[in-house]
Amino acid sequence: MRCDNCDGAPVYNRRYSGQKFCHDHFTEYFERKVKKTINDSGMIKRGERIGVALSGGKDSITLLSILNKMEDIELFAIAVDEGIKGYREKSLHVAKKFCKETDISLEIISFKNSFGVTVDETKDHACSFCGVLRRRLLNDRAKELGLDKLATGHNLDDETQAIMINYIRGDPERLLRLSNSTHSDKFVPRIKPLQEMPEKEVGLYAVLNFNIDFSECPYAGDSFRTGIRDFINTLERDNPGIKFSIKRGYEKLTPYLESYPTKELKECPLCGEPTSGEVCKVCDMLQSTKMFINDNKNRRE
Amino acid sequence: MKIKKDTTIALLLDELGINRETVVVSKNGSVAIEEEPLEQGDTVDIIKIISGG
Repeated sequence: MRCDNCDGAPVYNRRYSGQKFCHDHFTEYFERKVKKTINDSGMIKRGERIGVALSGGKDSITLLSILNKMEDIELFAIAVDEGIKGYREKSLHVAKKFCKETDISLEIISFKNSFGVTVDETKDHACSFCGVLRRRLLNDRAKELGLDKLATGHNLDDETQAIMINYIRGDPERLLRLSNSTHSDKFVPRIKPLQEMPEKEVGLYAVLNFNIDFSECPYAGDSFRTGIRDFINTLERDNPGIKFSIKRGYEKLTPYLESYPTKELKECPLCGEPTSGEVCKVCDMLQSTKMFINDNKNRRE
Repeated sequence: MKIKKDTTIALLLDELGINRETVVVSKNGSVAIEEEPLEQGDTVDIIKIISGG
């Protein structure tokens, strides 16, 4: 078996198109497609200051590496230490090493220093707690740095999982938010340059080009998303290209979702950030988590 | 482990109950496609590439 473009041994069989790629031609195809996604959508303009949410995992390292090959943009890597013992230390080590080697500015901010709690101290819902607080910290720091955009490593699989989760939950507001970031001058616009790349391809790109730690977050098994992820991967194995089909179907639906009435944003009385509820999710989660920690402490004393 | 005659990486993954969409596989130290044939004595590394959370 040979690469479709040369005599090299193939490292990837793109089953949804029937093409085989060797190491070099896969790398070339991958980088070209990510840049095409960026250019076609006008995600990044010349001269912009781009923040990159960097965990040190395969998605964010791949994203930062490809953005670093673009001319006329300024990059700032921001990493969040959520406080997950035995997991985050390893990926932060990769992040620090990568930024040092590429001379990209890196800032690490922690849940403990910013909110006084870590993910390990939460009782339930570690994934939603982590996601909500991480988004807030990244947005806050991107605002303070005066960045034009905040790029995240969400890939095609992340996108299709979010689409299916919100279909199943019957949540048109969240479905719409996947393609339209909430309009408020308090939010730095977010971009997802890897959104057209299947996770398998991102993983392969990372294996071929970097020394990445592929450990899975210890809380991942608990999430509803994991069940959806496995379901979609089974569909994809048996019907190559189904992930693109899910995303294209969603994109066709988006214009109809735009007419769905959305809740007006108001200021959270506790922190002043925009919220559609009485109190924003960050304050709500912090209050209940701190109450849980205090209850446990009192019980022990 | 002992492998069947005329097997491939894809068939090995099926036998192990591993979805090919979730892994990158190397044979004898080089990344290979799942259609690659396997022979007794080959070294196969399976890297789980999906992350969660």
